[in-house]
Amino acid sequence: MTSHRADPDLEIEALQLQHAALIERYRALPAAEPGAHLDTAILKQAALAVQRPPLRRRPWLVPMASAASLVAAAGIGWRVHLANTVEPSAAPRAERYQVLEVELNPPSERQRAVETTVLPVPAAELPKRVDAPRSAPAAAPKPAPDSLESIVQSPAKDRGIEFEPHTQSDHAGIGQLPEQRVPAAPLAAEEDDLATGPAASPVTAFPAVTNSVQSAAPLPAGKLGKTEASGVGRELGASNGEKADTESAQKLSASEWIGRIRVLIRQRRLHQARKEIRALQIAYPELILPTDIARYQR
Amino acid sequence: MLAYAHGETRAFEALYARHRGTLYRFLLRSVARRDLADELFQDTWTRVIAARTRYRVDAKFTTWLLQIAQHLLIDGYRRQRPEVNGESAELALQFAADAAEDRPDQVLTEFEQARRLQQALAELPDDQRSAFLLRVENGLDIEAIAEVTGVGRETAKSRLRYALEKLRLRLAL
Repeated sequence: MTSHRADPDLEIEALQLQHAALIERYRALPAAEPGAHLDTAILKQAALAVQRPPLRRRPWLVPMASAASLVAAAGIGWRVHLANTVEPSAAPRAERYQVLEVELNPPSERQRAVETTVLPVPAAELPKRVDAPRSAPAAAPKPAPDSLESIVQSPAKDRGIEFEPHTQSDHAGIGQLPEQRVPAAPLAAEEDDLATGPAASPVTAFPAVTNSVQSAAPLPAGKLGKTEASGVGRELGASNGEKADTESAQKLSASEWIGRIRVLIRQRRLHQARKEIRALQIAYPELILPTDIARYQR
Repeated sequence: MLAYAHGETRAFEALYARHRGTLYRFLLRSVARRDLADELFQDTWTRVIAARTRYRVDAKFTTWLLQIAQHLLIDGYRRQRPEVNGESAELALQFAADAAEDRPDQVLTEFEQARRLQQALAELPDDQRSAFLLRVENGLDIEAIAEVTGVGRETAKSRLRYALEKLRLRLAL
């Protein structure tokens, strides 16, 4: 069964014929026209629109832009390639977690540590310990001038070391490998540190420095306050490893050496920097490299 | 239009001369107010001028022009319903006076007929009035009416049929 559809135009013609009188009457209406002022205005507007000077196209603009894009793309590609070649290995990343362990210790672990630790007696009930702190450093063996404690306690500027700011990129790997975190030391260690009193404060004042320096110095444990509880300030003993085979190893402390490596990195002397890193690791085998340096380790 | 887009002002003048009357009447009979019709008329041509480089060859110029006018009508001016006022009566009277030449009875009859037709047009729904005007005033076929008003062919046809029927009944023709 097919539906028969009439030609619409014929249909309209028929409709118009049917309403011929009406259409006739419409056509008899006054033939209104726009006013002369409208004609003038519109024609003037149309003329003005095409008389405007066309936008001058600069023929060199497109090739120039293309060339600039190519150069930029090549630069980015080269930087990416360079970054891929100096990608840090997995081992130093794991070390980074150890350095940051205090900050990242999950609350549940902290809670467990608190529960298993005897609560400290309020400060008021410990007169000796509270009164002692100023004299406590006197009781402790005085650090050698080149030792970690002396480095830590003196401002970095005095030693002519310029440290790079501790950037957020140093924490980039946080949260990826939580299982590699080292559990926090018992809070009792912190309690012991109370006895050392102000000696702990310079350490916290230069956290980025101390994390690397502290682990390199052959200081006895328990002298550096909170950072010790994190396991960072382990007794490393530079003297028990292989002797440094370079002259700088004999002359520079770990922190100065690190500073020198940073300068090399800033100067983009990466090859020399890597050499220095290797030498530093030989000289201080247990040293935890700062992350900004560790990423250049190969 | 393509010639005008390339900078030929004369081409625009020819286009304008060809379409000014029908476009103006379409607008005037849609809004039934001369001031609004003037404004719409100028706006329509302004848009044509501004869009000269975007004109597509495959579109018929009349359809394109009326499409712009129809959009302007829908956008702003149709919110005010067209009304038969003293102005349209004056227009009707002016025409009747010109045509009838000193025959007062016929002048009055024709004036009255024109006025009634304008009133009937104003009473039509917008879409039906548009369909009627596009067909009778601008001479568009059903396809073009459908394109200008943005509806299907059958809808356009049906609107035109309703408009004719309503006007016929209203004017008792």
